Amino acid sequence: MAEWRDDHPGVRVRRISGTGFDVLEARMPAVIVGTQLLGEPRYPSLKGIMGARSKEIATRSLADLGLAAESVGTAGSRTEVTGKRTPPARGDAVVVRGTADEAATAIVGLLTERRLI
Amino acid sequence: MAGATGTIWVVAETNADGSLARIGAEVATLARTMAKAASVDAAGIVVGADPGAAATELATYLPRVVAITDALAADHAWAVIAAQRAAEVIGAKGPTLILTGAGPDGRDVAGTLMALLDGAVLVNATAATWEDGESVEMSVFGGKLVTTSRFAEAAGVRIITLRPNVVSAEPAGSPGNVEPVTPKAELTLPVVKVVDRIEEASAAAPIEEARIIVAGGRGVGGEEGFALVREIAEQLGGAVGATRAAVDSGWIPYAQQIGQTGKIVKPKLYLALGISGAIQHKVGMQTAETIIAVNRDPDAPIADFADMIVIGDLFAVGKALLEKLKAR
Repeated sequence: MAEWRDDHPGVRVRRISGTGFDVLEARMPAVIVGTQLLGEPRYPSLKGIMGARSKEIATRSLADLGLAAESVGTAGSRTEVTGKRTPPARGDAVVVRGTADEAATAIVGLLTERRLI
Repeated sequence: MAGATGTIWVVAETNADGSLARIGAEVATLARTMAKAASVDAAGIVVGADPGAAATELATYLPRVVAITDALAADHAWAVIAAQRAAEVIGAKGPTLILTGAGPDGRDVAGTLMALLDGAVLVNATAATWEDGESVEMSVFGGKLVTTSRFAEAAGVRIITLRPNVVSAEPAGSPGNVEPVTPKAELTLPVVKVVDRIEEASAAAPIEEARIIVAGGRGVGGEEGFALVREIAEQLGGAVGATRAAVDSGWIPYAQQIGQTGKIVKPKLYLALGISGAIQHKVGMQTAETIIAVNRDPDAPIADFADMIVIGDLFAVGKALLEKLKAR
């Protein structure tokens, strides 16, 4: 949660901690990184989607931003991916159907077999 | 290719009570392993208003620990202070490797250190080794792919954040030295005041450390439904987990949430009740040793990565299971 408060010269943020939340206050300018917990996205209306078509989307070149070509993209990256693999799949799941009692027996059976109880 | 030389540093995270966070011990263990392979030193840094306890604990994993006292850390956001104080100790003299946890604090520290020391960062490592340089594995696309990355030759200060629960913390043979430091320099970055700390976790053990987790999702239906989840967890001696849907609905506190925006866990047993297994949840629990799911829907995605899927009503199955567990 992040909010602007008129009675405070900056921004108030709720931040995840190990055991709950911290409430923080920062002066502006501030950078806030959000998680999915920030809230439900407000999806665009049809009118908004149509309206977006007529809006100008500005394009900036590297030169406009004062950046050298070798400082961005693959050439400018300080890390590189050297390999990739698919992790080993788990075996097929045992599918249990039947009465609740049969299902519970199957679960207890697996727990016992794997020494979890 | 050549990697870090000199020292491999750990910037350790601490708990609210001033003790060393478990991820700090995991990161320290990794640093020691990598330092050995690279034939360099490993050292730790603890920053806090009262860093002594965590520093002593960290020294059971590392030969050298710098304990930096900064009173501001008591009531200000930790990462900005910790990153600056760590940067003062580490400096930027040639290639250096810094390791920290991929939790909220570790991420903030890594980002700030990267900016302060003009470094390079690889985040969310699921494994990191030294093979003539750093080799870092990451789990991407919700666990569908594992990538291996390294730092480019030009990268000076290298930073890796390590996911919780991918390295087992193991103390070193003998404890290391703790060097207390009280910095004199003023902080240059603005600090962020903590005006309140809200505890939400249940009194039970932290969910990341639980051997058994019984978790509920949307299918649990409400706060009352979680009573059954809790009861089963209690019988099994486990902790209670939840999906984002259950947390968003207010049925259970956020501290219990498992998944992309919650905790990442690796228990021996994960019993999922009414959890479909959406990718955001899967990334938080897919490395559990045994996964048992109870779900009405045989086509729920969790069927693809569970060891056992029980098709049925979670309340009926849950109650029957509880009876059998109690009868043992």
